[in-house]
Amino acid sequence: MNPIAFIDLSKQEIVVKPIPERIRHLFLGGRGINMYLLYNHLREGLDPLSPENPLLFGAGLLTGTHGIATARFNISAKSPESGNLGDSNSGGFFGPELRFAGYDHLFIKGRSPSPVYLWISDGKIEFREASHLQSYNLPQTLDAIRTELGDQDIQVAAIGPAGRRLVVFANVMCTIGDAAGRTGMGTVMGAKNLWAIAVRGRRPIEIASPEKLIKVVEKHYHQITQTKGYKATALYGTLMRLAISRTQGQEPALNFQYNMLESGGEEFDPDVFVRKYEYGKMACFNCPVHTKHLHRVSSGDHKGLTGAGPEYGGAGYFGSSCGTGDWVTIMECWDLCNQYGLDILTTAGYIAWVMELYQRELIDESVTGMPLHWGDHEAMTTLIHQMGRREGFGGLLSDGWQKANMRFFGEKAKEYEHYIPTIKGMTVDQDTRGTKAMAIGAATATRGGGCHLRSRFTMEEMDLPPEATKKIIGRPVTSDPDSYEGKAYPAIWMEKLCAVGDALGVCRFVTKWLSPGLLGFNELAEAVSAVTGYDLTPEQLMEVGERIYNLERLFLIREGLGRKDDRVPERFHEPWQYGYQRGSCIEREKFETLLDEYYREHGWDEEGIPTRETLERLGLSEEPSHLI
Amino acid sequence: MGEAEIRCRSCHQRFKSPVFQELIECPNCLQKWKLKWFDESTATILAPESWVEFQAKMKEVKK
Repeated sequence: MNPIAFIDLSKQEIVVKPIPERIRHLFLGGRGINMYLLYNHLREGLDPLSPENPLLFGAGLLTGTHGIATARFNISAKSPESGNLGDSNSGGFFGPELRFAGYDHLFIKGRSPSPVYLWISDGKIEFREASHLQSYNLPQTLDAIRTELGDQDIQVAAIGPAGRRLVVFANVMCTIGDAAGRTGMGTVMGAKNLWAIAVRGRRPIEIASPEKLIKVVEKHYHQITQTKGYKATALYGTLMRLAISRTQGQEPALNFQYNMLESGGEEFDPDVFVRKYEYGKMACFNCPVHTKHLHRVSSGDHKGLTGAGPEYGGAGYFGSSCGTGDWVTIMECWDLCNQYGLDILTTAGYIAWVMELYQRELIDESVTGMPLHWGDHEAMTTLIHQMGRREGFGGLLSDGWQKANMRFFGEKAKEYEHYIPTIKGMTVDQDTRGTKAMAIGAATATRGGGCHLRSRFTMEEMDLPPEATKKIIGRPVTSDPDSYEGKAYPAIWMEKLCAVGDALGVCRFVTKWLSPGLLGFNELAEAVSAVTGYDLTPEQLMEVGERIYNLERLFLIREGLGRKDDRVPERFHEPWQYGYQRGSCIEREKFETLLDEYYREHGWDEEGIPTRETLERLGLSEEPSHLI
Repeated sequence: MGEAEIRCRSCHQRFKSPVFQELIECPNCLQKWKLKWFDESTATILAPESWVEFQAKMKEVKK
């Protein structure tokens, strides 16, 4: 397998080291090895914008192989957005190409004296001048580097104007449809004066048993493509979630004030989007699901607007949360974020927040410089330009909500914090009031923001009989999504699946995260065996996921987080107003009891700290030694 | 002819729909849904017959 390149941008030095077999077995790759490196190389309390903040790029253990949907890679560092754990994940083709170019992980430290990009080709790593990219937006940056290097098949991970200006929620993009968003990994690149990484390679990835892998892939392909989840996602992508959220009363309407957006109307429907605006689909490396839309507006004031997306994050948050069901507004906001390199969910979360402050007359035009009415196309697009350029009122948001809140309310800032729904410093990306396993997973999610990609026990809302969930996850789970009973175990089971998926580089959309008929630990173990020859049992694979999650928990504890931070936003204690789950909310006492159960199931103490026995069982008692 | 099992997004009761029928009424709560058929045994709810009417109904739902 490929080595790690340790790259010092300050000294422009490179050291290449193999990944020890023991570390491979404990953490596999991708997010797993990223977390091992981050935990052991990061000094606690470090400023995320410091040159010493390690920036990790890690391809999954199966990334770039014939395994299904093996496109993913992780970018990890201490987050400038939350001040805590930074970790982001992207598909596309960059991860596979990084492996073809000869590296599984990049460990980047220091700060270049002038802007550079890295050019990695067949094992060789070059530092190249990047100052001439200063005026380019993100898609232009990707194109310029490919053109400069003379090969349109080069894969590039780049930051845009937002990352270069250190907007704290800047992302990293690989194509116009593939972003490593959330936690500000683009900001960390900007702080290092590292504007892009270009990769190209022709080195094969060694496969332990090619014949076995072909059989495994055939089996998995048929398993995946026969599910209803696959068929719906292949057609509507993540926008399928919009129809579910609207019909089930789970919309984050008007900054989560309501669970239904009344102004959405007939237009705000995934089928309308597909018929009116979609002109094609994009898929990541080796993926049969192809969830990504390509959109084009062919008439009206915005004729010519074109780009990739939007995903549910755009529809749910630029749409429901900001108070509009207008697809053109959603698409333009989405495209602008991609041009600046701004994280979609955080950007939309901030717009919804200031719109609510305006609605409540807590800020006015003397502060905002313009009216901020719900769903106003002009206001939303202006705010995005301002955030990306660090100009005007929107520029106040570019350093994060905490500083903006202080600017708005001064010494009374704490009293107004509840108007921005956050967990561990990040705006939330799902309303979990009516789904208690998802709620405990969101409250404890290690990268904050109630992250739906850390643990989301989707089966909870599928009305599965308890015997069915027992067969899938090993324990029966009540089919009532609103019940707290026994909900810690399924949340933890899903944490492990997500962590293993990220360590292997396998997309969520082909796993049981999306639908119970898709791939689980058994199938992933088959693929690992065929690719690497590691004969890990499904139970051992689950333990790897548990190990990764515990190491992330140790990171948070070292940074001073604990039980007090395992919360849902204050607003989630208020009941939903509409629909079948009207009245659902997170009840404080029941939530605390569930949190106790969650800690016990994990083998953590009552403050949420992993016990000595748990760390020893997971083989973590040596490296993260500060607790022992 | 085939049929597909549908779970009403309003009352969450399950019922069967005849193959390729594009509009179906839930026999329990009488909500009308637009369906998307992927093959003769697989369909999913796309949307209510009218979002505006559906949302008016959601306001009246008692848990």
